[in-house]
Formats: sequence, C-alpha cells, structure tokens
Amino acid sequence: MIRVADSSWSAGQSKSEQTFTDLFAPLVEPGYRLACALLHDAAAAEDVVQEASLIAWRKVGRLEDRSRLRAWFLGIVANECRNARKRRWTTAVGHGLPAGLSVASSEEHVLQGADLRNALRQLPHQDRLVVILYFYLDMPLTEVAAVAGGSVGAVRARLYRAVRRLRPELAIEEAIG
Amino acid sequence: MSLRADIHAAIDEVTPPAPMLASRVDGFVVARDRVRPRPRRGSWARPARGLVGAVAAVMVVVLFAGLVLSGRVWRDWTGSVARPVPINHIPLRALEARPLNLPAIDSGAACPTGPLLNTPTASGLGPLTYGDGNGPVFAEGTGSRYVTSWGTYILTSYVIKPPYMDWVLIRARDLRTNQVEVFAHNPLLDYYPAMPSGDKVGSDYVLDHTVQLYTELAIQPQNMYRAPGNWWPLAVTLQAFPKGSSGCIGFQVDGPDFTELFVVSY
Repeated sequence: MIRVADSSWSAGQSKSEQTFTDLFAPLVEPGYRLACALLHDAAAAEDVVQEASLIAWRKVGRLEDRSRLRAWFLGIVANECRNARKRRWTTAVGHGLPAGLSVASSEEHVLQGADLRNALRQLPHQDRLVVILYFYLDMPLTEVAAVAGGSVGAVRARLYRAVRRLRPELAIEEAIG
Repeated sequence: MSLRADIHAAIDEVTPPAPMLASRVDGFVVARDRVRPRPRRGSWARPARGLVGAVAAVMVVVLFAGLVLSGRVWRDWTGSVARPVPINHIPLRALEARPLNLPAIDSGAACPTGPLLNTPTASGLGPLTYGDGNGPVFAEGTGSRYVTSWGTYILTSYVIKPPYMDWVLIRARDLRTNQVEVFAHNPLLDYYPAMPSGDKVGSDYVLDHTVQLYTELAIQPQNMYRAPGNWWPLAVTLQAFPKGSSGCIGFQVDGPDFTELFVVSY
C-alpha cells in the first residue's frame, strides 16, 4: 500500500498517515457509476476510474479541504470521461425511437432505456453531468455544484434545461423537486 | 415511473457490477505511482524555449540519421546471428536447468488449486490479501483479463517476502493440456523488474501495444518496486495461456535454494 508523502492535511490529521485505500477506496464505486453513466461503456469506465485515481492520488496533497474529497474526485472522473470521449474516434449509432412511434412489445422497457440513454448522450457534457449527478448518484444540488463547478443556481438552471430536453412533457418542479 | 427511476433503470442496464475494481485500482496506483510526472518549468525557462526547440530539432534529425546508419551497420555486422534472449545470466541458467516437477492431471479431473496463503503485508491490496504459493514468492492476480485471438492475458503481481533477494525463475504449464503459459512485459509500465526470459514464442497485440511472448519470467528482487513502509517488493507482469488451454495452470518457482509449486485456476 502506498502513502501520501507530504504533510498538510486538514484538522491536524497528517496526510502521511493516509493510504490510497483509506482515502479513495470508498470513492471508486461512485466514480465507476458516474463513468458508466457518462460513457455507457463499462470497460472504458473502468479505465477512466483507474486513470482518475492515479491523478487524484498524485494531486491529493494540493487539496486543502478534506470534506471536498468526494466532489473533487468525481470532478476528476468527469473530466477524464470527457477526455475519453474526445479520444474515441468511433461513435455509437443511436437507436432511439422516432417521435410519435409507440412501442407495444414486451421489450418496451429495454427500448425506453436505450432511448433515454441515447437522449442523455445527446446532451452537452456539463448538462449530462449534472443530470447524472443529481438523478443517478442522488447527490444534493450543493454537491452537484461542487463537482460540476459553478453555483447552485447555475446547476439548477442546467437541470431545468436538460430535463426540458429529456422529457418536454414533464413538469419541471416534479422532476427537480 | 419518475424521471429519476427511469434514469436509474436506463443506466443500470449498462453498469455491470465491478466488485474487484477497488482492489484493481489500488494495485494500478501502487504500480504506477513510481513513475512520477515531471515538475513544471518555471517562467525563467520561457525565453529559452525557441532556441532550445531549434537545438532539439537539430539533435532529433542527427539522432535519427545516426540510428538509421548504426542500425544498418549493426545489421551488417551481426549478419544472421539470432536475436539474443533478454537475460543471459549464469544464475538463471542454473535455475533453467532444473527439471519441471509439475503434475499432469486428466482432462476431466478437478484443478488442484493452491496453496493460497495470507500475505497481509504484501502489496497492500487490503488487510487480508491472499497470495498463491508457499513463499518466498507469491502471485496475486489483479483480476484484469485481456482476451486476444491468441489467448487470455492476466495482469499479475508478484511479491517477494523479505529478506529474500536472489534471482527467481518462474515457469508455468497447463496441467491438463501441458500447454506452456507465456510471459510478457506489462506495456503500461516503463520499468521491468520482472523480465520475460527463455524462448521467445511470438508476439501479440495487447493493451494497444505489441508485446513479445516468452516461456519464462525472471525476477531480480533488488530491482523490484518497494512502496514506502514495510510492503514487500512488487513486480507486475502479463502472463497468458493460449486458446485451448483449460486455465488450470501450474507454476514452478525456482530460486537458488528453493523450489515452490502452486496451481491457479483462471
């Protein structure tokens, strides 16, 4: 196990006492879920979490406030996901349903899931990020703002805009609460 | 269903559980942390960038020409001499001369896996890490598998219990089919304390790199990565078994004063 080398951590706790497992092991699973949600590719998500963990471990000495560790780590994961998407030279073929077409088969829920993932994929990165953090990782708006950057108000506006694109018929207040 | 439930359902469909990911990430960070990024240059370096860039460009051209010329000279000089194996060390030759004592089992027989010992201070993958072998050499499969048209590659860590510091030679066979398991450099790392050795049997394309496949793995403990603290020396390698292999792999680990056998079912 490796340990953080330098020593200026919050509240009198020396970083030299912190191991990678202590700090980041609880964050790997939410990081993986975030990466899966952003990339829709489990193998690529695992690669991203590995790279993000290495970056986080090397830079954790610069983080002043330990209470921000989770948001800071998820921000790195999100950034690595964006880089991974830029690097990909193939794009998935969308298979959403044409507007107005109703599906009556027993596989309807599967198609709806694919349709929703396709709609998420069409959102700009920052909009998709706040939607996933809020609706999938069930994070409060304050923490979503910490991960995505910006104010709570800006995050709320992004959410409104994204929900409007995903489900135009949905009452916004019902979705965001 | 609400939008939240719909999003959960839609994304859960593409999010398979990854129970080993945390330990794999831990191992990855342990292995990669040794390679530190370069510090940023200070502002004092900016004025010299143009000149340095020009000099560097000239040096690259000269170096490239030199490599081409020296490559031709080397090729002419060595003629048809076969490419040497990476290691030609007398202690290793003695270890290579030892016969393999791996058992053979019937195709339908159960794989006799083990021994598996608790190595709590080995690679730091957790409070109770288990390693294959009796020691002083233990193998820890990290769980990362890569499948190619040639076969299946397993990213594997080897840890050595201190104070053992002498050479180690590792050979492996499929106990059911007697196929040879091969070893290759982990292309994601740029230091090689675990060196594939023996006969080169081919090459393959793994992890976006071409890797050379060898029949043995030699380890020099004094060159292995040692994390701060009391963690045991660590080396990471790729090992692979070909298509058609049963995955029941027997390992023979030889050092100057010991021979260790263990069996892993992949």
